[in-house]
Amino acid sequence: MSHKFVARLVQSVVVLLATGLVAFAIFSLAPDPVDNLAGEYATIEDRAALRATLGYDRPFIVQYGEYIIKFVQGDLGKSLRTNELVADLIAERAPATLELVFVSTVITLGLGVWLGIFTGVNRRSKRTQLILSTSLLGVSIPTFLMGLLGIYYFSVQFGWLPASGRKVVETSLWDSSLISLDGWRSIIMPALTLSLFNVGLFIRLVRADVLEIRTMDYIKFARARGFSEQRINHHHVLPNAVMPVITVAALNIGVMIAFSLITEAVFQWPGMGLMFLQAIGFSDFPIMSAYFFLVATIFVVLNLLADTLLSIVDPRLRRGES
Amino acid sequence: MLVIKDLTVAFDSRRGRLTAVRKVNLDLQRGEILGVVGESGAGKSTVGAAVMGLLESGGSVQGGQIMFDGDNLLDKTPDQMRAVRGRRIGMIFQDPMTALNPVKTIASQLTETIEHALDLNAKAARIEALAWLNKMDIPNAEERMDHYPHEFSGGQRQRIVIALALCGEPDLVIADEPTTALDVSVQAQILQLIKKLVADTNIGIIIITHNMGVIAELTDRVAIMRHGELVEEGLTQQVLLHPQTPYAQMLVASVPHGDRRLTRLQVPDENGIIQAPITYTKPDQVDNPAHKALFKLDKLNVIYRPGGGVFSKGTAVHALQDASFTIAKGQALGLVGESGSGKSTCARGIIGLTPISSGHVEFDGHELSSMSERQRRPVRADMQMIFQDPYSSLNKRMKILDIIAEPIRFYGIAKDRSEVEGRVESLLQRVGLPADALKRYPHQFSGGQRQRIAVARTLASKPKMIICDEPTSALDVSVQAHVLNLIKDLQDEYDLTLLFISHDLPVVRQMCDQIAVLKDGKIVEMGDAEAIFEAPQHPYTQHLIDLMPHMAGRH
Amino acid sequence: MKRLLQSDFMQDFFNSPSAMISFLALFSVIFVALFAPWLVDQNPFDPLQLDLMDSQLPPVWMADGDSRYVLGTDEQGRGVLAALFYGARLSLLVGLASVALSLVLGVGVGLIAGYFRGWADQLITRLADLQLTIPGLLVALMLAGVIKTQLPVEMAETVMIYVVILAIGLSDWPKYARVTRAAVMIESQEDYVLAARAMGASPWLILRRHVLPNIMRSNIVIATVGLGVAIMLEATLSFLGAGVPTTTPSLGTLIRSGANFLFAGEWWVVVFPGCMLILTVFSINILGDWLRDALNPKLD
Repeated sequence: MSHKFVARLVQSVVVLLATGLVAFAIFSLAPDPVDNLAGEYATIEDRAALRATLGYDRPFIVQYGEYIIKFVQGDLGKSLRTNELVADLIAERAPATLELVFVSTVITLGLGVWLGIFTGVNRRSKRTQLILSTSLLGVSIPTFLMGLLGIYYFSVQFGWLPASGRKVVETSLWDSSLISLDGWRSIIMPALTLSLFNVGLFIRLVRADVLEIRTMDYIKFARARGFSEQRINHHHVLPNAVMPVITVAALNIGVMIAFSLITEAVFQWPGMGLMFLQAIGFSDFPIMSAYFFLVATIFVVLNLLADTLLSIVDPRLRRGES
Repeated sequence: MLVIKDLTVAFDSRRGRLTAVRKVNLDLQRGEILGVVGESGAGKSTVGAAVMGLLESGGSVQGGQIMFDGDNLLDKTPDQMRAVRGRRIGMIFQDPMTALNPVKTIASQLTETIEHALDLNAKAARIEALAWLNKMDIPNAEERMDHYPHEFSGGQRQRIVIALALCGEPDLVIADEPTTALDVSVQAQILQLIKKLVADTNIGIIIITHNMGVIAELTDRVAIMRHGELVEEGLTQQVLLHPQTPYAQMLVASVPHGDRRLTRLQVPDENGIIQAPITYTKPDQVDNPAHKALFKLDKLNVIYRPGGGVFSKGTAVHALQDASFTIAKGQALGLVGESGSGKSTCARGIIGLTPISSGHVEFDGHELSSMSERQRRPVRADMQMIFQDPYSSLNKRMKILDIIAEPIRFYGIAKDRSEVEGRVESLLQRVGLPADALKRYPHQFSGGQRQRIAVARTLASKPKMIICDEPTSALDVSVQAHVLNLIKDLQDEYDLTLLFISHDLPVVRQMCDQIAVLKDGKIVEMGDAEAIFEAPQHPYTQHLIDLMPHMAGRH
Repeated sequence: MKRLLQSDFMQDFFNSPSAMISFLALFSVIFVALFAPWLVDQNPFDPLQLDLMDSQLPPVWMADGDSRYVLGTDEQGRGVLAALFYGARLSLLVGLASVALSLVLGVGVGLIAGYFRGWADQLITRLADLQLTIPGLLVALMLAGVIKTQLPVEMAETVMIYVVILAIGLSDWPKYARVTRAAVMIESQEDYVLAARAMGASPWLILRRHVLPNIMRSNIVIATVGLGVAIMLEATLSFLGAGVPTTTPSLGTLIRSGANFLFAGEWWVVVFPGCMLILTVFSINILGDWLRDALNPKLD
């Protein structure tokens, strides 16, 4: 297994470098600061000299390499607009996004897996039809619209939940909104909105898996040996259904990090996504590029984790074919 | 022990109701092996499923009784049937590669069944499980029982399947095509195993199969089914030697004889007439050395190298080693071997579907192996191939006309539309299909008919040589007989040279003048077919010949 | 045509009430989108036809409603009904165009990767995997967002729609490529392809005549779902400000402008376009589901 793991690791690094290239390309769209630094009266030669001193005339590949090295060390540049360190900004805003994604993931996985298995096993029940129709509707509503409608009804009309913003309690590690009731009230609507689309997706995926497994010969053979449907579902269907779910779940977390963008925009949730959107509006390339690269890194790591987890859990991948 | 009376089973689908089994009567004693044989669509599997109470969705029993030790199984509630399954009636599934749960160890699958059926605790169940694995001759059972299915070979997996079916100690076992997915030598072992189990434990077994050889080797009594009805029934030896009904007679006659070659297999031709069997005698002219060799293979080698990534560890497989043989014009050479022997590789290398690592292929005066694709193209028209799977060899989206016309248009044999159509029509008629078939699509035809279409396509370019890659292995026995006769007819009519590839020795004996026996990529014996069959020289050839089923009244 | 109408496919369709209803719903959306100019008086894309005095009017059944604007108006004086129809036009257009782009790109690349294998396959799969690790939304947003910053303001208005089509189209091609590649790999092992190769046919002939028709089924199902996703993606991009400009609003842009007034209780600019959007995508999804089952050979 280890040499396969190494292969995947190398592949991941390659992917990261490629994404880094894209991120760097975006980063370099920023106008170089030479003109600002040099001042009005600098001549062309002076500017060229300044450019050389600062290193802006070096070949692309060298600057790219430097960008990567700096990234790894935690130097993500400075915001063009406010001149703050991008790394600081991200550290400040990461907990908001991460907590949001965390709560959404729990909801998505919990509901999605449970209902997915239920609809897969009980093919013809009325409840299944209802769940499937609702989930289909759920994936037909764009996240932002759901958020808006949620705000309109729960905040404007009924006033139960806050329309925007995040309530936090300060702890030694980070400011969390999962500790106080107020915090929960502020996070629940964004989290539900974020999970709506994904729950629907998950239910259908898990259901498809379960349906496929139930057509397999070994399930029929188990029936022929006199096992009850319940026993078959628990001991034969479920263990086999878990495998593909792991991969999908890992990818799903990535998808949710991406979609949290939208939720943060609608609810003015002060996370990384909102920061990114604002950066686009201001053409703040260092932030855009850092966010992109960071998020891509998270995705690649998630993928790698999922693969590794899968190869541990699936006996076929563990010991190899005979 | 088991008495099935007037059983009728129907399936409902959106196309309406299909009666799969109609008023079938069967019975089985303890210690007896009953074979239920029939071609596809006979309903034999459905009978087995009905006894188990596991009909596919849409299926329902419309009438009759299934009496098992005095109880009518059809009267039982689902829970009661569940108690019967595994404990009193067991079932052996066909495909060992898919019948086992891939994520559970062998031990856990066995203990789970034993605990459930025999009500033992975990420890006792494990001891039982080990005993069964040893009974099945699984080496290192104690250590390996905690391994997963994919770590065992196909033959071992089927033994495990049998163990699982039997460990609940049932009295009756239904085996649905238990050896079809296995290699010939493994098949023989499993059949022996089943025979021994019946002798030791006095259980009753129903073997459902389409393979007459299995019937001949294994069963005490046989029931022949066709289109859902029971056609004939009796002691196996009796039925095979003296079949009473026309269908049974045809079925028995369709099986190629392992002990001699006939001019044609005696199945009814279009007029329903069966000719008396004429043992084939070699015409003298074949021994004439002046007769030209049309095809020559010289030290052909095919080596597969698995696709490379930087980290792949695959080793090269030398699929075909130094294969050499010659085929004279108008002769048929049979290439025999088990799966993995390299016979298909050889065919594909010759026709250019697989790259050749080294060696020469000479055909009709051309040195194929050194020709470029462009030079080769006109020569390709003279060498065509028939493939094994009739469901895969025709493009489902093309009309029959276009399928057969493709080589005609491609090689420029005819360009004018009506001329092309005319040729296709005459080709269809030559293979025994109606002319209006050309308007239809492949899915509207049966397997045998599709294979005839494939033959028609092969003939379209007027080839001199045809390579037949297991052309009838996927067909029903009676259909196979017709297609084999057709190929022989065409060979005579067009003076075709054949390279015939098969794992089925009686078929090869029936069709070929010369044979070459392949083992692990090497030709171990080669020569005149009759001579080799009568007196094989190489031990492997002897082994294969020993594995041929002995039909009653033959050998 | 006759064969199609008599086929099992159409039988399934007429037997399925949900398929027929969604088809009707979708058809109505397409209808109003196509014939918008004849159905409503006002062209909300034309600034000259807008009257700021008429802005922010509620639907006709509420107090202050105006019978000229049945569903109310937005803050620029656009009739919501008119904007719905014209906006649907835009949403559909962008959706269809981007799916077409993804299809052509993805299928083309998938054919090459699946049939020829070798280095082309390696390269293409790596690229596809690379892009698949990053969710489409982000890719599309990056593309649209970055390009927008590079465009001079005057150009942005007219060009953005093409940028959006490009962004969405490029974000989705890996899906089609992957499916096509897998299907092609399976089909190339089928005997009829081998027969064609044994005949001596060139790879292009084989791809065109034998492989392509047989793999389109899986792509059609994905494309249907993909259309729904594309429409939602366009709406999302527009809502976030990286999409179609407000002068030629799509349903997403409308919702964006309406969101600002949601707190004031002016819900009609959000709810009506929202319903239109949901209706469109929902019917597409139902049809897509039905199509998947209808075209599934295993269930034949």
